[in-house]
Amino acid sequence: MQLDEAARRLLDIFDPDGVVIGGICGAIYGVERFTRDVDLAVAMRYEAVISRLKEIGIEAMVATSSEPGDLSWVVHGEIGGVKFQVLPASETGISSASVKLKAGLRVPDVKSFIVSKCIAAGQQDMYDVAALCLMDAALEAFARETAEQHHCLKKLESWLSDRRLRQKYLKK
Amino acid sequence: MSYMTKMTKKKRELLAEIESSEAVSIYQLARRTGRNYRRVHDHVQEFIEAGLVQVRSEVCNGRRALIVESECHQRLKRLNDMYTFKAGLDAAR
Repeated sequence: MQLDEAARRLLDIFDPDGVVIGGICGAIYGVERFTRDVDLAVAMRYEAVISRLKEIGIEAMVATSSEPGDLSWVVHGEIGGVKFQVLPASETGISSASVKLKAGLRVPDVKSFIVSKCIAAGQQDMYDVAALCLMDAALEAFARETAEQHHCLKKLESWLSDRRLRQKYLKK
Repeated sequence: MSYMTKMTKKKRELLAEIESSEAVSIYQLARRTGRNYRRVHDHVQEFIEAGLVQVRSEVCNGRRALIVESECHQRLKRLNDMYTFKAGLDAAR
């Protein structure tokens, strides 16, 4: 199964509560970075997520955390050979009001996507935000402000000044 | 002035329909938007020339159809290609 097909199947399973985030969403907005799994944010409790998956024969496991800065839960599973993670929408900065349809997939609008990336705040996440800003300069002020709120502005600035990233995305 | 800024409302709506849906034929686009096939075909031609969409020919139910894809579809395809390539490498190992 291809990544987009897995994403569509998962969106069907969690319809209308699922939104594709992560690498697939980044790709839709023009970030060229490889991903090998599907990330989905859902407005549900993890018990309901596991139960919904079990109904259609998908075994999934949940990892919970009470560490500050961690998501309280992440459900891991596999569909058609593609690994996926389901995350709590409320903790990833995604709201149903920000959802858009792109290529038939439900994704957050680009600003909500930036918020979700700044909440995660890993190096890959900030790479994605910087790439988006370089492709569309109108997003930079918003991204900087959001990154500052989530204490990851330095990481973002580092990627924004990265020579290779600038060469790759400024020409677009 | 860029093509995007001088686009009419109808063309913007048509482009939004292409971007939001899965790959779709011109015939389906005309039906969904309630517009004339010829008009939709001409607008899609303008989008192609502006580099906003691509069209490929496909046989559906024994008939040739022109399938329209936006840049989002192309990006997803590239991601799928990378995924297939790397999955193949992993399997070979």
